[in-house]
Amino acid sequence: MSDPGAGLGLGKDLVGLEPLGREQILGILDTAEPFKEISERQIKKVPVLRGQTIVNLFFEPSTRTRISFEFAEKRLSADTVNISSSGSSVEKGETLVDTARNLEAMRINMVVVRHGSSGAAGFLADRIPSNVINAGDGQHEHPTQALLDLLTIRDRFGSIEGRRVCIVGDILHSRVARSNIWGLLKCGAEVAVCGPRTLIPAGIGDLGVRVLRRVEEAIEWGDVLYVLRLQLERMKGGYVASLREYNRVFGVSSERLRLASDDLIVLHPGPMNRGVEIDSDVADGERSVILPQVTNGVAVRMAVLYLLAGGQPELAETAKGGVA
Amino acid sequence: MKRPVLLVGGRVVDPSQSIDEPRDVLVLGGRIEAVERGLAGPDEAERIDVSGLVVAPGLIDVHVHLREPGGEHKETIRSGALAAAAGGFTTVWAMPNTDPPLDDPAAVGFVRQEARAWARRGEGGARVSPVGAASRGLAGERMTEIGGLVEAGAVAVTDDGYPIADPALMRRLLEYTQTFGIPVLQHAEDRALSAGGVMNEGAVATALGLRGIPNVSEAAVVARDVYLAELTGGHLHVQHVSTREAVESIERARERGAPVTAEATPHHLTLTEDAVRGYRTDAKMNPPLRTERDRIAVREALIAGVIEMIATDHAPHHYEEKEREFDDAPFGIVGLETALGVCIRELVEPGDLPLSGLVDRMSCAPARAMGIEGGSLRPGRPADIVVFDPGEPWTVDPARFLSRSRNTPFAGERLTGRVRRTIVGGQTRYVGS
Amino acid sequence: MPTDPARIRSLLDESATLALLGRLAADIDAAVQPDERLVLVGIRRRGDSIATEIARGLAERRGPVPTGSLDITLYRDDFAQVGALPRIGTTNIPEDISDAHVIIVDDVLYTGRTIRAALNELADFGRARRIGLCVLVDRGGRQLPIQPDYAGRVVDVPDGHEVSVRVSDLDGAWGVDLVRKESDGDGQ
Repeated sequence: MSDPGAGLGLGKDLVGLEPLGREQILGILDTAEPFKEISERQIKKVPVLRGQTIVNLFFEPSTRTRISFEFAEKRLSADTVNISSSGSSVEKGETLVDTARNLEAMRINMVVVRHGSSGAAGFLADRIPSNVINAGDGQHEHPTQALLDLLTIRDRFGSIEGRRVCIVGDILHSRVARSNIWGLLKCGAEVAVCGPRTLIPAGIGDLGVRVLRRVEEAIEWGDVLYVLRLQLERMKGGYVASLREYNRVFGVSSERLRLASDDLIVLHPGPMNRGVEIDSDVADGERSVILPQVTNGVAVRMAVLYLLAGGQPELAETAKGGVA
Repeated sequence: MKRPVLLVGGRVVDPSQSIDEPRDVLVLGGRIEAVERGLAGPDEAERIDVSGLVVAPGLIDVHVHLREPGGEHKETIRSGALAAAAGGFTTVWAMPNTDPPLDDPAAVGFVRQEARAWARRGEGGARVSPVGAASRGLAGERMTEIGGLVEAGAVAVTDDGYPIADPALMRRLLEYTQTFGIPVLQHAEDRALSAGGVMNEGAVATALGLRGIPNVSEAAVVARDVYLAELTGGHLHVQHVSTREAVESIERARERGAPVTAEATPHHLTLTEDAVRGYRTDAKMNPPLRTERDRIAVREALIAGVIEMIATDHAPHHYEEKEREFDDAPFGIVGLETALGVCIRELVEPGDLPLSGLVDRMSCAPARAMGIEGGSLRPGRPADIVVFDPGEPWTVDPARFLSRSRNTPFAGERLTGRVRRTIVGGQTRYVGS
Repeated sequence: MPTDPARIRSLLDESATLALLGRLAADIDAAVQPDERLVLVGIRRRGDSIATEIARGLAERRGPVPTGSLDITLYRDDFAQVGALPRIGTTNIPEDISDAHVIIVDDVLYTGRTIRAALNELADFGRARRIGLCVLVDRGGRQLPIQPDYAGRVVDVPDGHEVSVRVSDLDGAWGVDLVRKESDGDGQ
C-alpha cells in the first residue's frame, strides 16, 4: 500500500491541476525529464514499481490514453489490469461506490480512472485508500494530458512563464481545456480561449482567461495554438450547424497560419478530425508538436505514477547516508 | 374528549392579532379559548410551563414532498408528518409527484385518509393536505378532473417537480381553478433552457465541468405566468423563487395588483452555488442555489414581504441515491426540521427581520394567502400552536432527524432556535428533548 | 546542506585526494590490457565527477576513455521505504557497452546496495564482457557480496559518523572528510 505525501506533497491522488501549486506542477515536469530517457533505451524498463498492481478503470472508451498509461505502468515494471465498462453506473447496475469497495477489497495499489461524470475521480479518491489518478472525468479535468502539454511547450520554449497560449474549439465540453487553463495560469502563461460563442462556457473570464472571437485573432496573438477536437455530438446539440461550417470559420489551416509569428507551435490532444478543426498539412507540418506530445505523455505518466506510488522525502534524505 | 391545555408564562407572538407580549393561552375542545395574561384554566386542564419560550401559531409549509405512495424508503406520510411537527409545523401541503401521482380522486383521498388515520391512532404529526396534480400523469398535456380532486381533499394543483410548460394549459388552469378558489402552484422552469443542467450556470459550474441552469429558465416562465394571472384573474403561486429576475416580475405583479403569491425556501435565502464545490450532492436541488446577487434579492424580497412566505420544498432522498456521481444524484434536500433554526439564524439574529415578521412569513402569511384555516391564535381558531426557544443554539445532526432521509447541506451547522412543543388541534404532537 | 564545521574532520586534503585519484588511474591502466575497450561509468552524484577525473589521468597514459554517468534512483531496492525522490538525474551511457570492459566508479562503498542497483541498470544497456568496480573510499559494512577491484583508501568509520567526499565541480574543491552526524543533544 502506498504512502501519501509524495516528494512534492501531492497527496494520495492526482484528481486535477486546480488544487496544485506552481512548484508542484513544475516539479512533476522536472521529474518527467529522466523518464524521457528511459523510453529511448533498448530495454525500456526500470524496476521501481515492481510488485505494484495498477488498475486502469475506464468507464469511457479510450484507446490512446489507456495505451499511454499502460506503457508508463509497464515501463515502471508494475502489473497492470484493464477494466473497461461502458455506461453509467445506473445502466451497469453497479454503483461507483460499489466499484470502489471492490477495488479496495482487492488491495489494488493504484487506480487510473476515466469516467463520464465530472467529479467521479474525486468521488473514488475519497472512498478508497489506493492512489487514484484521473484520466478524465466528465468535463472536469484531465490532468496528465495538461501536464504533457505543459512539458511539450516547455521543451520548445524553455519555459512556460509569459507564453501566450490560446485554446481553440469546444471549450464548454472540454476537460482538457480546463486542466490546461489551470496548469498554464499557475505556471505564469497568458491564456485565451477561442471558438464558437455557443461553445464558450459561462464565466470563463472569471477564471483569468481572455476570450478571442475569431481564430485569426488567436493566431496573431499567440505563441501556442492548442486545437481541440470537435465532436460530432455538438452538431446534434445544435451548437454548430455543420462540420463544414466549423472548418470554414475556425479551422486551423496553413492559410490562416501565415498570420502567425515564426515560432508559433500547434498542439492537439488527439485524436484529430483532419479537415475539421485542423488541416492535414498543419497537423503534419513544422509547427506541429503533436507527436512529441504523445512521447511526452508516457514520460509524464511515468513521473506521476512514480511520485504518487512512493512518498516520504524526509526518509529519502536520511536514507542517502546509509545506502552506498 | 380532549383535555384542556393551559400554556403559562410564555411570550405570545401572533402577528394576526398584533400581539407580541407575555400572555397565557387556554385551549378548550381543540380550539383556542383565550389568549390573555394571568389565565386560570379549568382544574382538569394540563398546565404547561412555557416560560422563556415563544408561543406562536403553528408553522405552515405549502411545499413538502412526502413520497408516499411509491417512495416509502425515502419518507412516508407518517414520518413526514412527524418530521414536520418536530420542525414546528402544524400544516403541510403534500406535493403530487408520488408514484402513482395524485392525479385522481382515489390517490388524493388516500393521502388525506392516511394522515388522519395516524392522527386518530395518536401517532400523527402535522396536518397533511394533499395537493392534486394539475395535469394527468404530470405530463403537462391534459387537465386533471380538478373538481374530483378537490372533493377528495385537494387544496391546490401543481405539476411540481415539473413545470406547467404549455402556456395554453396554464391559462386554462388559472381559469378553471377559480371555480374552487384554489391556487395553481408553479414550479417555474423552461426545460429546453435547463436541459441537462445540474447546478446554476456560471463560473462555478464551468470550473467543476457541470452543466448549468441559467436564471432565465426560471425568469422567463415566471414573467409569462404573471401575465396569465393578470389576464385570467386566477391565483398563481410561484414556488421556490431563486432568481433576482423572478423577484422583479413578482414585484411588478404586486404593483399591478395581479393575483400572484410567492414562496422562498430557507436554503435559497442562505446558500449560494459555492455550496456545490467538491461535488456535494447535498447542495444539488432544482431550482439550484444561485449567485450571491440572487440570494440577496430573494432575501430582501422576503423581508419586504414581496415574497410573502417561506416554504421548505422538503425533498427527502435515500442516502444511497445521493451517494453518487453529481450528475446522477437526484435533486432535492430535506428541510422541515431545520427551517426554523436556519431562518432565525439568517434573518432574525442579524436583526433584519423581527421575530413577529418571521412568524408571519412562516404561518400567518401562508394561511392568509392560501386560504388555510390556521396561522392565528385568535379565539375560536383550531389550536395549532408551536412553542419554541428563539435563542437556543443547536447543532444539526441528521442522524437524529424524524424524517427517514438525511440529505441536508446543514449537517453539522449551528442553528438558532429550537422547537419545544407542537400542538395540533389541541393535542401535543411533538415534544422536544 | 550546511554542516557545522566543528563536526568535520579532514581525512584527505585536495592535493592528497588528487594524488589518490592519480594512483587509481595508474592502477586501472596497469590492469586493463591496451587492446580492451575500456568504459568508465560513474554513479551520480560525485561518482561521475570522480570518473571524469580518473579518465583524465588515463587519457595521459592510453588516450581518451569514454565516460558515462548512471543514476540509480529507479533501481534502488528500498523504494517502499524511502518512496519517490523527485530529483532523478539522467543516465547517460555514451557508448555501447556490449563486449566492453566497464569500470563502475563511485565515491564511497558501504553496504554495496548502490553497486547492486548499478549492475542491474547496466545490464539493461547491454552485456559487458567484464565489469569492475573502482571506489575512492571503502568504509566496510557490506550487506551484499560486493568487493572493489580498485580502492583508494580504506577508512574505519566510528559509530555516529559518516564519510563525505567532496568533488571540485559540485563542492568547490576535492577532499575527503569524516563527519559527525547530528545527534538529538546538539541543541535546537
